[in-house]
Amino acid sequence: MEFFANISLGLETALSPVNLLYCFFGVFVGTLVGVLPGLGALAAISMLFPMTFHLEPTTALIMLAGIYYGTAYGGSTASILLNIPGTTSSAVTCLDGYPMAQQGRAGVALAMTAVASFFGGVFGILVLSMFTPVVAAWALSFGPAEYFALMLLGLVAASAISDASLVKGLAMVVLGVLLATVGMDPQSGTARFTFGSLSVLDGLSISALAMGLFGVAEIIASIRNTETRRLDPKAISLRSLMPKRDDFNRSWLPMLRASTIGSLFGTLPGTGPTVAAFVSYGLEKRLSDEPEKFGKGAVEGVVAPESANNAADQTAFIPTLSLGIPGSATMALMIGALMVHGIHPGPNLVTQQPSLFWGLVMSFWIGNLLLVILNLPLIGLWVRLLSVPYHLLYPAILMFVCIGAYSVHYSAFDVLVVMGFGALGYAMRLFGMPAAPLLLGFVLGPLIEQHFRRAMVLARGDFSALIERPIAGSVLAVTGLVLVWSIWSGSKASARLKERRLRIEDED
Amino acid sequence: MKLMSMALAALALAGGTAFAQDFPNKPVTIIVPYSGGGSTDLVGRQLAHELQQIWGQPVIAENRTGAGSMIGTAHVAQSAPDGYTLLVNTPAVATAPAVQKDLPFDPKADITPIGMVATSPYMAVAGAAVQSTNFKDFITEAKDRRMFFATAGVGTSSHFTEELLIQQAGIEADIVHFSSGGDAQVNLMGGHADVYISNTASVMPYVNNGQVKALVVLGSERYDLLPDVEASAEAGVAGIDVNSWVGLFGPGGMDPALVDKINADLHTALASESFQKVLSDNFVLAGKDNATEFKAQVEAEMDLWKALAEERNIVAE
Amino acid sequence: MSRMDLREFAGGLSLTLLGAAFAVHAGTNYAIGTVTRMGPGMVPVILGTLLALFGVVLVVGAFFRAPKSGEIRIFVPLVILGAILAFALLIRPFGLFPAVFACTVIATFAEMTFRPIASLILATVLSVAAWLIFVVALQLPIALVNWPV
Repeated sequence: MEFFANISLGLETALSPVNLLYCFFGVFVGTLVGVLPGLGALAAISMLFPMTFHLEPTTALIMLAGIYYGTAYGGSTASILLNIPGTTSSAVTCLDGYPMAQQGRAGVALAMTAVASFFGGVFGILVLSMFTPVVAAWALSFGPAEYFALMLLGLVAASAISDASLVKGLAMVVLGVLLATVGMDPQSGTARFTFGSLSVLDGLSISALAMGLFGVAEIIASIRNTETRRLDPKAISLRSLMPKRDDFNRSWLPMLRASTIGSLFGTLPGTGPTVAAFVSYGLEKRLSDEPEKFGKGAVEGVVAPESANNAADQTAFIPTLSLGIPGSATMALMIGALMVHGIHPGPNLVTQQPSLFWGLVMSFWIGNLLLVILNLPLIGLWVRLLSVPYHLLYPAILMFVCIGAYSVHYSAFDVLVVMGFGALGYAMRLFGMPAAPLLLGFVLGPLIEQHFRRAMVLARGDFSALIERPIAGSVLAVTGLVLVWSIWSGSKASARLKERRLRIEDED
Repeated sequence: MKLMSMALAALALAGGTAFAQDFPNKPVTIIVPYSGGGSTDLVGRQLAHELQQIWGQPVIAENRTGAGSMIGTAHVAQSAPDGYTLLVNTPAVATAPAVQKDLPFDPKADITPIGMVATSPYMAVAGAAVQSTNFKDFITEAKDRRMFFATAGVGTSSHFTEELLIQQAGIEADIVHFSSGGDAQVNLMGGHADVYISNTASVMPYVNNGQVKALVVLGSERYDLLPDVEASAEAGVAGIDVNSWVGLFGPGGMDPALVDKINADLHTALASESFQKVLSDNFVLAGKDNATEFKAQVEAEMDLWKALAEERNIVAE
Repeated sequence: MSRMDLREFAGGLSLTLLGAAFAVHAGTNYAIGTVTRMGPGMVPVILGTLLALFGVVLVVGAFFRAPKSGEIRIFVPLVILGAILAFALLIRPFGLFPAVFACTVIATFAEMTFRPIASLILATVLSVAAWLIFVVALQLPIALVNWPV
């Protein structure tokens, strides 16, 4: 009964005209910022943060949260249309979203993304509203050992993400981890590979890496390329934008699995939507009957990461609100917006500020609904973007990439990093080396290294103490099983491939 | 860069008091070397807001994060000492240079301390795995079971104050570096680490929510704003005489008249009702020092932490 | 099998050199530590070595592969990277308009057709768009036109 009382209290708060207005404003800005490459939720929220001084805390949080999950909706648009991730967490969406667009199925990809984002968001909100206290207590039991085990599992599960040869894929993961070691080592204070430069002391910017590796390299390869087909605007009918029944049939199970994974990673501070998107993509590829279709425009490869990152965005509020622990810099700003008004989020927030908590949760429902309503009609508009001649489009993309990279820290150096990674990205294309595993290594590598080193300090150098911890031990065991299984299934797949090739040669 | 700022300093000196009286006649930027939403950011933004009222010129708070505040600090150190680029920072301005080598500036010569904005003692908090409820018992417990001291990162003030406490209390303990103060405290709550030390603004929200236990304030006396928490000297742990603070700084070589003017305006800002509320919300007191006193304190701390870093061998290889 | 795959050979060789550079630099400059008490050099040394080994595998494999065709561009990447470089060099000292303008004009050269009027129009349009989106709408604190002091 109390549950329904809470819901009606929340709806009452969220549906007040002021809150509704700011919710709409938030998700609108979020979508816009998400579409622009490089400009992420953090930049948008930092910009609007001063506004929160003059707003009611609930209204302020509703607006900031709207920006936050709104960017996840918008982030995939540029990934699908231009092969340039609008946000880091939507980089995985490039892998199948862009091939879909090249096959003339951009509208379908965008529509399925909206559906998947909504599904993931709603799933995350359900977890948030029903299990917050339980999940928060559970997240506390995760120490460095557990994080290490889980991140290792993530790496192993997502390692099969690319289509390239095993050696090239692994080499790129390793290169990604190596690039992530640049900067000050958090365990010793040693500056690694900075060569005395202060600009890289804090590490290479992940958004600069993603934009250079995916975006700039894509531009270089597409200019004056006869294969870069332009779309005839007249060919875009409402019908061609609509997903078919088959698209839905293929998608609902991946969306469910990905939302579960996303919700899990969202609740753990410091891991976040990008990891969730990678892991869910890797899992779907492994579970699929036709893994060879991934990377060539499989709809599952679009809906899985998008459900996962949106679910993670919602459940990230669990540690933020119930422990007062921000999982990311963006979440720290959310807490800051409350602190300005003298509210310190913690275990008592739900009972002491029920209208804030439930109002926020209900605003998530409304915000997600608004996002779908906002995004579906925009699809037609976005797809028309593809009919703009490329010689006009690429300088504009380049400009957005440059300003986006610059705006993260207002540092010209970050723009140079984009240039460097653009060169690397193009070289990798020439050598047939995949970019996604590099990004995966870049995201997960430092987490694995730092958590392992912390765990070893806490275990006083005793490796067996790490395995004896129930959660860490079982996750490591699962990791081992996945590893064995993937080697076994990998060898089976290559045997199958060889057999097929032999048969073809015979027929020749 | 260096030459240019020295030339500018000479120019400023020549201009003398007239220059200071004219200040400011264009927008001023206050660099906050920490990310948004934290306690230093809150104080820095409030300061920018109040100074804007006093000066009648836009005062912009800009977050330049990274490397334990050293990226933002270096930016200010390399700016012109005309008062239009200022910095708010914590004792990290003294602790970080004690571990980070190759900083592109001299923390004493290239930074001008202008005044203290806010101050509070350091407080040690204990996590779920610690049984004791008072500091004396805690020391006994720590001698019995080697404890884990969680820091907000290498070279942060939490790291250095923990080393100092371990040294002065005569206990053996392990230091574990986490990625932030929040990260350190969530590991305390989960019982993965035992103790964390930071300023009151960073730990009190979690103490008030019952997520961590207030163990002790470092120093010889109890803290006026939190009289129920015992002081470390009461349990016989002496020789810890450091407080946490947030200070206002400028680039090295600023005109003394300009420094005094900004210091005076800082105190006007601090006296306002809205600033007082922000300070009391964060369990901190307004700073009272003039620029010379503050400079002496900052430089004394730089020497103290540098000596401790060498003594306890915490300098990065 | 008559000819080796030169491109694969070059790629593998680059990885080997890159990995070795990482490993050697880390090994000589940073503390390695032990597996249970890892120093800052441990991960770069292990992974650098691993990367170098992967590179060797590719180099060896290249001798047993037929060469793949595919265009290798030199001019286009140089122009595009140059456009980004121009933006990076101009944005702080000179401001948004000069940076966007230079970036756009240089980028249009990648088309290999010289259309001065068209590229100037495009640069103007994009400068105004950048101003409207980033400065007017999003309120980013970026100077429009600066003169370095």
